[in-house]
Amino acid sequence: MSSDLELPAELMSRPLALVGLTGLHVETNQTHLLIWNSFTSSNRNERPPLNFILFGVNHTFPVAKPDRTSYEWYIPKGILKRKWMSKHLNQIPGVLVLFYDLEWDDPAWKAKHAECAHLIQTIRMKLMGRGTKLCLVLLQNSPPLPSSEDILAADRAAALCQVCELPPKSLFVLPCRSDHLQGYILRLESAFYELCQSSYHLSSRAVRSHRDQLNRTNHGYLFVRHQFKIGFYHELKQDVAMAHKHYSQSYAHLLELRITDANVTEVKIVSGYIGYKVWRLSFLLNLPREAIAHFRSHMDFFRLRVGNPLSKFEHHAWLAVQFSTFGRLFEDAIELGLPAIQTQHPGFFYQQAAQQAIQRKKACYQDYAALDQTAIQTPLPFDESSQLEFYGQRPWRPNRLSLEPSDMKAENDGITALLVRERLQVDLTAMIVGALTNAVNQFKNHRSPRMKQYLLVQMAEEYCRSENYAEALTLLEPLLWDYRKDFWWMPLTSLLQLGLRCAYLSGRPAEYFTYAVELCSRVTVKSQEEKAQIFDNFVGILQKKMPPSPLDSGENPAATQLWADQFANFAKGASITTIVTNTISSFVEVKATFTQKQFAAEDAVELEVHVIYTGPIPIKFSSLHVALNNSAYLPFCQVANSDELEFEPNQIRHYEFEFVAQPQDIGAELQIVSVTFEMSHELVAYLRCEGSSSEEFGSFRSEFPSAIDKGLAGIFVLNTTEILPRTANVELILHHEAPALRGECYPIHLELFNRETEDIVNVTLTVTTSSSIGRVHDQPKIDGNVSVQLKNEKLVAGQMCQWNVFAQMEQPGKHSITFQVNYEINSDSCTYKSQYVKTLELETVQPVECEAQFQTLQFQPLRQIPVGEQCVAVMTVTNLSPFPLQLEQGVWKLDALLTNHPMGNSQLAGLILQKGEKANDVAVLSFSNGDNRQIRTGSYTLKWKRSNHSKAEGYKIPYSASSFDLPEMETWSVPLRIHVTLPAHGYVRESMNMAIVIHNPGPSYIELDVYMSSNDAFMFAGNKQIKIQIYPEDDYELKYNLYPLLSGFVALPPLQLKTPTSTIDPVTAMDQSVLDELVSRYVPTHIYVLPQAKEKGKTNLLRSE
Amino acid sequence: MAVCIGFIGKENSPLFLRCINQSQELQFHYIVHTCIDFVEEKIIQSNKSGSDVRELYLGLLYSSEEVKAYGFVTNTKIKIVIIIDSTNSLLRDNEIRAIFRKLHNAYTELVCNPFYTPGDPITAKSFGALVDELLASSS
Repeated sequence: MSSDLELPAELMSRPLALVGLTGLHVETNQTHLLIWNSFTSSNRNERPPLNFILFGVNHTFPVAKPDRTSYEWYIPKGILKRKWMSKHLNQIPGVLVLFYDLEWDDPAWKAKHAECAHLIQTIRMKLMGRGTKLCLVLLQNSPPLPSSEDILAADRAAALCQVCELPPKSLFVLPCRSDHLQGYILRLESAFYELCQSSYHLSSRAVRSHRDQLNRTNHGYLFVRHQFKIGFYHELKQDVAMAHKHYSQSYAHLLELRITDANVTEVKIVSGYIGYKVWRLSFLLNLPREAIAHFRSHMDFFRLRVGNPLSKFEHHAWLAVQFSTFGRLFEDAIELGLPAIQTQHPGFFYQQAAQQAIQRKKACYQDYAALDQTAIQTPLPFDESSQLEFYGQRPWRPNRLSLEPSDMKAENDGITALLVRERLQVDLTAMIVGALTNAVNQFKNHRSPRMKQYLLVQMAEEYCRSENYAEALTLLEPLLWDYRKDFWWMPLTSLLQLGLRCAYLSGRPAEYFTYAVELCSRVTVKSQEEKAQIFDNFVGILQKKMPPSPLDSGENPAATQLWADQFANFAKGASITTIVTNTISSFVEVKATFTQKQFAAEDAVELEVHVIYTGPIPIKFSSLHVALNNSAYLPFCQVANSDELEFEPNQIRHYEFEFVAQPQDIGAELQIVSVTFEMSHELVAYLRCEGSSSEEFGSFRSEFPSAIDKGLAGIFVLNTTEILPRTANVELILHHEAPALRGECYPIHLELFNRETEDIVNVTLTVTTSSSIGRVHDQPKIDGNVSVQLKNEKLVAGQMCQWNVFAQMEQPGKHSITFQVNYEINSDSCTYKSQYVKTLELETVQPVECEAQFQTLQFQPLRQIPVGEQCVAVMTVTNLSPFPLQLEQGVWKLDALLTNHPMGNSQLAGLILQKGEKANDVAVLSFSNGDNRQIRTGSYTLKWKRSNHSKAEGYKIPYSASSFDLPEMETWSVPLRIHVTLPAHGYVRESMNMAIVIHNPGPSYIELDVYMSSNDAFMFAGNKQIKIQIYPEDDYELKYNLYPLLSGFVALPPLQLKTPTSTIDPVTAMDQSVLDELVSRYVPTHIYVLPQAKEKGKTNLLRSE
Repeated sequence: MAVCIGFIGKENSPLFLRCINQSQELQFHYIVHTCIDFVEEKIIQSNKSGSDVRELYLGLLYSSEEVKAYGFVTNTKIKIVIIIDSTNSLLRDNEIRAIFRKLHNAYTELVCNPFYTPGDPITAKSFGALVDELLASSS
């Protein structure tokens, strides 16, 4: 029956309505092949759910049994017939379609239409008694006409229908030469689909009609079978809801059957099949709750119906299949979008499947062991159950009415034969592991890590039972950690025992040793006697003694051989394993600590190790090592005397170590890496307790809070210690004159006093500036580095040495300079290093301020630099520093277009400016050519130093340079140049000459109106108003004769230039404001007029009167 | 009927476990351990809903073919789990609540004992006797 356990393929596939095609000669006729391919081509999803099968014209269909007129004397022999479903899925079509090549205007119409009718009749005969509908499709080459126009076609179609006895709706025409063949095929398909539906509907009606003739006492099986058939027809029709209803009814009828030991297997098998349909359709109809509820009641109903006590293994097998089937249905539904929750998902069903599979295996092995040898050797007395007419029946009594009293002997023999086959041929482990794997995946997806662990434990146990020890041990490793980290000691103990057993049976001394050590720890749930036994076992391994078998059955020869081989491979003194005790709950707990956070280099470093032993019986380790991050200390940190390493249970021992730090560790950190115990006899094993930098060494608190014994709980652990350099005893005195000036070469005088009692050697002084803008140098130069190192070979005790360093700060503000003195003292064999650090906060200020201005030669401020004329640049230098500054020179660096008229040495050279004083430097320059634009005029560099550098004897401090940018200026090309020639002063009533020369420097012709107005102070002769024209690069001269009337600083007659109103070219016309500006710039407005001399007084007086 | 009662500490270590059938103790250790998954999930969900007054009784954690597990979590994150045989339909929700309330009270009294360090496995005899009595009465 095992073959009936698995669901048959025809049950699990989605039923599709079957359409039979006949009359297509696909091998010989290309057109027919094309049509056939169009029906069976891909993208079935978007097309009606149909299954097409090609039948030959002479195909014989299964013959229908004649309808029973009365069921009165009929007693069914089984519930579901094996062949029925596949018959309707693959053999008996819902619609059979005959394809026939026939044109409406075929010359041989008569003959052909008779042949066609004959074919239809033959087919009809073959399908007698079935609900199959017949269709005729005429394959035509001529394009179709609208039916109303083609009278011939209409007539002949009607005639054809009549002669074939087909309804007009079952006749189709397929124009097979058309480009739209696929479209026609699609339309045909939907027509076939409709016909199929009505065909299957008729079939289901036919089945239903039998119902009235049945009675409950004899025909219980038929109630089930008929409802199942109706459900199946509805499924073929794609009517899911109705199918679900009828399958449910069928299932309900099944439960009403009288169940005896004889028919219980059949009922269970069939209930599983019908149930499968019910659950699948429930999920499809989005009724997952109903599916689950139905499944649960299904399980409740059948859980205890074992039947024959011998067939217990079969019962568990069936239960396992039920659970895994339902799990898979549930999983499929989830894939299609059903939401699952943590407490309701397929994992639970897979878990049960695994449980039942385990039970199945157990029952099978138990019952098999109880069999006597003769039963095992007799061959199977029956055929395979897959040959039987009904699902789920016993092969040794086929087709027998199950209600008959059975032959107990045959029954037992049959089951025994099945049991033998199950035991010898079926891979039960694979089934269990498969179900567990499915469950593990589900629980992983549904956030249940611990449930997953539990399942993995079961999987490991199963591997162990099936003697696959390697797999079992691989699974165990992470599981041990999972249970250990939350202190679930009882599961841990059980897993360790499992591991011990696997390690024993597969001959692995290292694993055996590790598990045994952990089993002996304080936390495992074992009696002291058991622990002592285990302890002896693993100590025995070190003496190459094989541990006793953990099996109840005594020695295992295979394991004995494996162990012997393993021991042969170990040389004397070889290491079996190294156990890292932090990761397990071991029987030694260690805390290793430095006694202080810091040790001075000249002092001894002290280290303490506290050990508590919690094993069951006394132990004697052979040595103990403490490993630090520098292996050079290893000789100082070990205990080799095994008498000191003997422990009674629950004894605490303390060990102290001390050593002097190595020179290269001064300033570094020492760290305890691990503490290792060695157990040795013939073979060696190590127990290592490791520390890591991130956590305190020996701190079990994060891992095993309750594992720590009260004895060590109070000990505070210092995992690392720092080795400090010797305390320095020197003094560094700095002499300097703060504040420093920005950019200055700033001398600092250093005096280092040796206050040690001994001479110091290899003295180095490192001077470092804090920021990147500062520089230091050991020479009075201004290009230094960020740091400079000064050295002195030896400095006698009580003596002093001196250095000078020069700092240069590029920015004002506070800067720090660090002075670090390193030196060594050689005493005896040891060299001590010392370090002394001093920091200087240096205030830096701005030394000078410079301000530049451009002026006319008359020292009038200029807003623009006139082109082609001379002007002066004036630099005002102010001393901002608190010290007198000596200036060397100011250097002008001017734009190439500005011509500097050499002035000899800078006026500032050698000048000493006191605090707050100012000095001016002047340069004459002219702007040669160009037009109106903005120019960078250049820069000015001033070299300076302090006038009194007192301390830095013997050094010549260089001048520092400060550079300043000159302001940006606009240049101005003057459109008119006016030169006025006038004496420096005049006398009252003495005429003087004034010449006004107007020069046109530009490239264009100029026209101007010149007005000379009179005023009170002068009379004048000359043009009072004149229109003048000046050609490019030409002059015009106006001459006036002035006669002063008043003395004093008097105003000259005002000159005014105007653009004539009648100018021909307005472009060249100048703006009046520009003209006014030019006049005011070039033409003097006032003149000193002196009175007449006294000697000539008379005449002059007379004139004035 | 209630077949097992387990106490789990706030760091998920077992504090106390008692079952009717001593031979099944290991199996119940595993089962109670798996219950932590469901308890943690329920706590996360009740935190999400953000209600201030937390219901200590978590209700049915999960049910399998063999057992049903009910959970309870104290304000100090001590988890109490009651395992019930799946075939038993006599125990109703409010009866289970009542058992939990008694267990919670027993635990509170235990913590009041100055000789008990919270977080250590529970070894007090009176506590064990009380749990045994509850197991016996609910079966």
